[in-house]
Amino acid sequence: MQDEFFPALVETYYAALYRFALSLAKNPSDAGDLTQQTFFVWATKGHALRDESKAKSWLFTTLYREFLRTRRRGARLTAIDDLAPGEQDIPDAEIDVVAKLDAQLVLEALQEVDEAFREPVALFYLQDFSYLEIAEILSVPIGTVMSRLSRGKAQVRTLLAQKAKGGSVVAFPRKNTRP
Amino acid sequence: MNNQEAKFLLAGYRPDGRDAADPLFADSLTQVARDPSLRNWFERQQAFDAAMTSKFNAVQPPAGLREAILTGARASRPRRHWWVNPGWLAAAAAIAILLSVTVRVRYLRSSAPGAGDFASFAMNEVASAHDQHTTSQPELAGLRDRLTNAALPLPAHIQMDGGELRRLGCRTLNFAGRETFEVCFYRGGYLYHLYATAVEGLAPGVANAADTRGRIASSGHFNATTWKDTRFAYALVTYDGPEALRQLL
Repeated sequence: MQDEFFPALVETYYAALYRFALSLAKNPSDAGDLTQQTFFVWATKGHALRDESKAKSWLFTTLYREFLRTRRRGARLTAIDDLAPGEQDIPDAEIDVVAKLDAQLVLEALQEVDEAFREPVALFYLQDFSYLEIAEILSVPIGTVMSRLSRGKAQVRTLLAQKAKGGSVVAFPRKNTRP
Repeated sequence: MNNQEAKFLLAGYRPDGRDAADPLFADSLTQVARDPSLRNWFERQQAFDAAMTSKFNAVQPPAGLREAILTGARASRPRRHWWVNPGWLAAAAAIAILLSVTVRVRYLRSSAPGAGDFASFAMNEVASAHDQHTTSQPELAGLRDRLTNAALPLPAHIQMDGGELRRLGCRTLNFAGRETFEVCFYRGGYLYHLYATAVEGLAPGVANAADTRGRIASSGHFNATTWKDTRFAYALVTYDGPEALRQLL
């Protein structure tokens, strides 16, 4: 691909990649490194990508692989596949939609979600990604994406509710509030 | 479809409505329209997701990250346009002629691709088209499970059936005019890409299944090894380092 394409690619995706990296790595320094490493891989190998329309998916997949590569991974895959039965039925916490969230608080809540669920939830909230794209990036079946999204969102809600008790979160009024 | 099933699927429904035409959600959305309690849940879920998306996307990268990426990439990329120098151009032409003669002579001796060609082909494929690789094709779940869960070294425990792979829609590639199958799988936390092509007509030199240890080729971040059984030659590639390969050999 053309060299001229690279700055545009950085401009378009670096912020979203950084946010995804931040949700995975949990600290800004590592997230910055991961984002840079992703574009480094692009700079050295991205020219071989045959279809420019795949660049976004390529970048997120590469970032995810770089993240996996740079840390111990055996335990992670076990954790995904061997969840205890009790864990698979996360209680549906109160879904009070939150109106005045602090962005940092949202990020903190997301970072506290179990990693197996955090990955698809972070990609989902980047919003550019459909469940199909998330399945492709994470190399998991569609049903697994839905399951992890469902449980991950439930964990986010629970974590936000806990943080709200500390006074940092203001809840939406519920639709069906009794008088 | 009951409400629980609808909620399960709608977890993947994006709040901006882009998925409205996706057939996967059709039954769930019909159920939403029919059931007020589900509709209430769905509206709140969508509002929650929209708020989360908005807040998540408000997190800003650190100042200077973009410039660091651009500067770093410029420094790491190979210099371009060296060939406009006439001296380099003449030297390159001479080398090209020399190489073409050498290649031609070698081709006349043996035109059959060998183990090195197969390993290079496989590593190049993984490097250049990894957006097309998948470990989630349901039709190949049986084979992938065998590859993932085999307790013994991989080379001795692959049972490939070309006809079956073709029928299941396994991704195929063209290696030197030869049909080549690709199966990607995880094992022990590492991602592997396995390529298989008919052994017939390959140049001698591809190791037998029992003699693969230590034969690891590298290209950039990628490592590969090749071996053969009575029917297929295999190339196994990973991005996760030579040790990841050795664990399977």
